[in-house]
Amino acid sequence: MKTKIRLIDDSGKRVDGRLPDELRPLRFEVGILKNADGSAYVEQGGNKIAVAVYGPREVHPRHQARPDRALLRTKYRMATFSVKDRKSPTPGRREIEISKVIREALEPALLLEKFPRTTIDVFIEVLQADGGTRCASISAASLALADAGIPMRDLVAAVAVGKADGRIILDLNHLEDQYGEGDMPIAMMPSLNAVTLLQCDGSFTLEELEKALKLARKGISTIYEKQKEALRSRYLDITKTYKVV
Amino acid sequence: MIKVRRRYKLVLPGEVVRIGDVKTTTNVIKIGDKLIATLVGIPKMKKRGGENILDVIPLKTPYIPKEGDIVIGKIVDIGVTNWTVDINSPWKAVLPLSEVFSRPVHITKVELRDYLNIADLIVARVIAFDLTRDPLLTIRESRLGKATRGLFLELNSWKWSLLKSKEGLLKKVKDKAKCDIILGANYRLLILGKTLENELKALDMVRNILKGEVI
Repeated sequence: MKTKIRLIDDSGKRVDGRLPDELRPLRFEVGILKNADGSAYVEQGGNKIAVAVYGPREVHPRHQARPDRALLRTKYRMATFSVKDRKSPTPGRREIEISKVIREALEPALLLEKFPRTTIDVFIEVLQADGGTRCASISAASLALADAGIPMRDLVAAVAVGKADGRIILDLNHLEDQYGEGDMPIAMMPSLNAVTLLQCDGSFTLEELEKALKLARKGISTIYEKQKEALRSRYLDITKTYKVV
Repeated sequence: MIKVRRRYKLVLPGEVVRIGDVKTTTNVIKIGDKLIATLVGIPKMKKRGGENILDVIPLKTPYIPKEGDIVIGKIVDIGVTNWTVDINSPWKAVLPLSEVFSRPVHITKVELRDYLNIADLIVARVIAFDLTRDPLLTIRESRLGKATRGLFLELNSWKWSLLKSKEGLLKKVKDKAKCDIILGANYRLLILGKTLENELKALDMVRNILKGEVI
């Protein structure tokens, strides 16, 4: 329900002290799991999400295999302890939908036609949720896919923009998501300048939409730099100068 | 001992490797006049048939079988007339009975398990693969067949390409340690010697080749 909670105070700061165009503290880590082909971890504000990628590998059940391309399967799951009230471990409508949305946001970036009749499985585990988990998941999943050595056109970076107290804000947290006037998750392939996901909840005027897209692009470019930095630091050893015998 | 200093430039998916019109491998895609890397790797110009080809040598990528490749496989399943082989690629390879025996055999009279059992390592050649069917293997050639002993190493595409580019050094190792070293195209390495000592000696030398450049 929309209540009279004030999300932006008189000094223009948000509930967690951020400015309207400020991202939450963000940290990526690549290669956290040994058994997976690729993996990544992200902390964005209160969000803590781990992603594992397996594949390309044989499809089971076999009838799901596609003759011309690889199948991308994503599973977004929230841990029972990820929110204040215990979350039921059964995948609900929301989780199934988010899995689909994430899959569709990642698919345009992947060169799936290189691996026909196989599957690439992406497992996303939300350990702690604080609003904007689908966006953080997309950013982390694209890193895990790159870590697995799956050919991609570009990394995918995502962020949510929204509206609170009539102002356009970047990177919504849980409170702003719940009590704000609008929420718009956007995923992009920044180098290609292409949008792979755009959802919208609430109402935006045309001007607001333009402003929101501009803000999202700014946020995404920051996230993209952090992603690249994390991916590079995984392979830092070989970018140094070495003596070769 | 020669000391060489190198600095690698690392490219990430989506990063522009080069601008211009150059032939590329499939690891690089063209968007407009930009050549974009699709994998995490090191860009390199290759010469193939007098032509310059831009490649990105991936640090890690799945092995895609090619006809004629020598691969090191592991038997994972036994069928009625074939074996299923794990060749470290997204597809499981098939080794049919006819590609194991040079004479005709009757399946009711032979026990496939007696020739190649599950978990056996084989050195095989890919004879057919076209993405629509699983790769087909053969061991009906000299130097191919079951590895009854030896050391087995799993590499990644980067370490593999380093070893591949130093085939001269590998040959020296072979002579010095009196071992046979098989570098499978599927990023696997097999060291076959008469004794374990010889094999460990060869392994040490292979590690030295990779030293300083290992991820």
